[in-house]
Amino acid sequence: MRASTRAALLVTLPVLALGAETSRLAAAHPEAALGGGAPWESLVQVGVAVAAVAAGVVLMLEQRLTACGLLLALTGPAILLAQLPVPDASSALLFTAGLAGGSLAPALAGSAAMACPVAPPRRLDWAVVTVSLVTAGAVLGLLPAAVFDPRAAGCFSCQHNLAEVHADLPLSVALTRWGLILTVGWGIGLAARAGWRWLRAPRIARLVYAPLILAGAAISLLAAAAALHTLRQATSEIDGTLRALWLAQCGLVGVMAAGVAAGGLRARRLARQVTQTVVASVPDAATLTAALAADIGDPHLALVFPREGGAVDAGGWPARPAGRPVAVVRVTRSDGPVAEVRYSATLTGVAYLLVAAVRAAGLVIEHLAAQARLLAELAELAASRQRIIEAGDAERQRLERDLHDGAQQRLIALQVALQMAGYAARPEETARYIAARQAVGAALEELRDIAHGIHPAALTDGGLQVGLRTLAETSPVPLVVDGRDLRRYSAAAEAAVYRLIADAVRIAGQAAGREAITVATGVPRDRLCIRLSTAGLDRAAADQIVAGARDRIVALNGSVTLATAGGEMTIEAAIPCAL
Amino acid sequence: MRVVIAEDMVLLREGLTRLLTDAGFNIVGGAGDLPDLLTLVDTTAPDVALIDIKMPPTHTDEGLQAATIIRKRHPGTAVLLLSSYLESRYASSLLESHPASSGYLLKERIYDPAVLADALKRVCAGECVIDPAIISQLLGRSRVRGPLDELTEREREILALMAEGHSNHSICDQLVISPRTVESHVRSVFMKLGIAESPDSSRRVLAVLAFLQA
Repeated sequence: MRASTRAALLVTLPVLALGAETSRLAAAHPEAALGGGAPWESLVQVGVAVAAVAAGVVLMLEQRLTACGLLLALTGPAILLAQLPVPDASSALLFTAGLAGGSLAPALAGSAAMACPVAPPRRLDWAVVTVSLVTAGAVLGLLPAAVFDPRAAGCFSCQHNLAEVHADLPLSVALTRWGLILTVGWGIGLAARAGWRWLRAPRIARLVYAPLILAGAAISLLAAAAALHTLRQATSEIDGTLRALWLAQCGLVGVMAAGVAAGGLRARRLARQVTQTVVASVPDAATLTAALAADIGDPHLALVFPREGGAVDAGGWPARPAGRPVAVVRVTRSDGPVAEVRYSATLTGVAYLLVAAVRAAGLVIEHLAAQARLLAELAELAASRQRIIEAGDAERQRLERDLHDGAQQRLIALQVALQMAGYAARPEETARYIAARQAVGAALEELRDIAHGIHPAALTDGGLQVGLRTLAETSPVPLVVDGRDLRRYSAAAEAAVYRLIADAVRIAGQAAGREAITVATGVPRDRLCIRLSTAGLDRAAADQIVAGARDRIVALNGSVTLATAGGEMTIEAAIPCAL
Repeated sequence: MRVVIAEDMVLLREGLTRLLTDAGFNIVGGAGDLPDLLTLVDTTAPDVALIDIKMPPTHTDEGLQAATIIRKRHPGTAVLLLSSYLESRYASSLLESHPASSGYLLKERIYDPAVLADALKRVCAGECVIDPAIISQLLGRSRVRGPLDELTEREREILALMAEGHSNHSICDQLVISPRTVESHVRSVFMKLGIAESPDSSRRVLAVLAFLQA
């Protein structure tokens, strides 16, 4: 048995005991009992009282609606105090309680309706609730009780009034009259506010809270009607109309309790549905999110997984900000947060539905969380690999420029200096100067090759097309470049593709046949694609080229494939690139 | 002949100035970056500007930009670009905008006053100049069999000279043959390669370059 169910049952026991006593007294003095003394009338009142207490406790413990639950739970004993034929109460305590608390039930039930979390309470709402509780508890309860002397009122069989501080019968009558007038006011006001709040609530909240709020509003209206009737009657006689109005209010409290039970059932059904969805299909985040979204009626509900450096979605990507006020249901494990369900802040009132469903899907959510974290880590790794490649490229570019703008220029200056020194030299030394100048010339040539090998400037300056055409000028095998695409791509993508082709050219140059290499470039669907075909490479050489290029290309989320047809090798590479 | 030198490395600029002065050129000024060069050319209106392609501030293609601006503003000033890249791309960019009176020489040749003086004189005379090393690399590159293989030895020689920017007259002097023979060779080369012949020798260089680069 659940803890909340056990607590609810436990609390109903004293209520049942009180109900037995009030029912006994009502049966003995039906003319003085508001609800009458017939067995069915007693059964209705005691039953509703017990149900209200149980429902209130469940609301407090299970759905965490403390205020609403407490007010509903207090409505139970208040109904029994109203059922009590006060002049015939069996003890002073009961007499006093009936005197002071007999009018509380409708105000408590109405306030419970107002406490339903369908919208943030306005100042007006607080005012109406306060007036209702103060009227019922003080103006109609404690205050007249404090100045009421039963003997002075002519009731000599009555019990002693424990609350009496000063006997003043006219004041007691006046207070009661004012209380009734106030009741007419708050009854109508509370019903109007409760109805308005209900109308403005989101659909799912309207559905869940309809019994509680609408019944509560109706009770307030009936209380107003009863007060009006009493005022017009001008006697304190209990007539048929008053009795019928009261029994109707009791019935409506029963509706409120039933509403709470229905809400609980709804949550359990939802959890069962989610469990079924989860068991029936491969656990996938979209399905689960859709199920939760549909059940709570929030199409933008999101399931995210908190992680160091920000929450991620099921795909491991950073979760997008909601762009609206959201409330959160957190799923945690002993070692930290697992997941968060973010939903519209207007729906906090029905959070318990979500909590039940999320609890049912716990294992799946944990699985999805692990998956999401793994994907996020993979994405981070991929990004870091790409950064390493890019940093390497930038470094090579810098080296090439340093060699070109630094060492190479100095060697040229040295050549000029040697030339001029040669002019001034004695004839027999001229040959030495010439030799030195030639050595510098050779160094320059080597340096140019080294710099070009580190990073081709034509690629940096002009892009892939210019780079490849420049490569063709020194290629040991014919290199035919198809395509006139002069667009620029990311430096890393250009370098990766260029290196693949340069490698192929170099390796094909070592082969005997010196067969031509054809390269076609294109950009279908935002991908930089090249197709390299040649009859000049054998399988092993092609494998070597692809292996050398794969790491770079894959690091850029690209792909490289090798195909053979006849004697021709075709290497295709594709790298995603935003243009 | 009045020359300005644009080169950001002071040591080299001074060396060049001395070399060219010794060779009989009148060096009217030196600049270390693009804005300085443009001011210098505006104030001195030289016959020729000798420009390093890579200069501050970005060290990319300031020289090429300068060449375009100078040829537009001062049609009387020829430009000779210097670069360490043994690649044809800068030469084509230069010639595409202003084929006449422009040249592209490998920087490591500047120690040789004869080569430099010859190039300077040719651009001043309205010819264009492309470094022979670039042309020989283009001619010698490996390519699939095509019209180039149909040329005779002599025709290849003449093609190379045309690509380097020589006019028919200059080719006659180089090869010591009669203008009539040169003309018939030139016509034959163009026919074999399938290029439309142009009377303007600068335009002719562009066509030949494009053919060799393809």
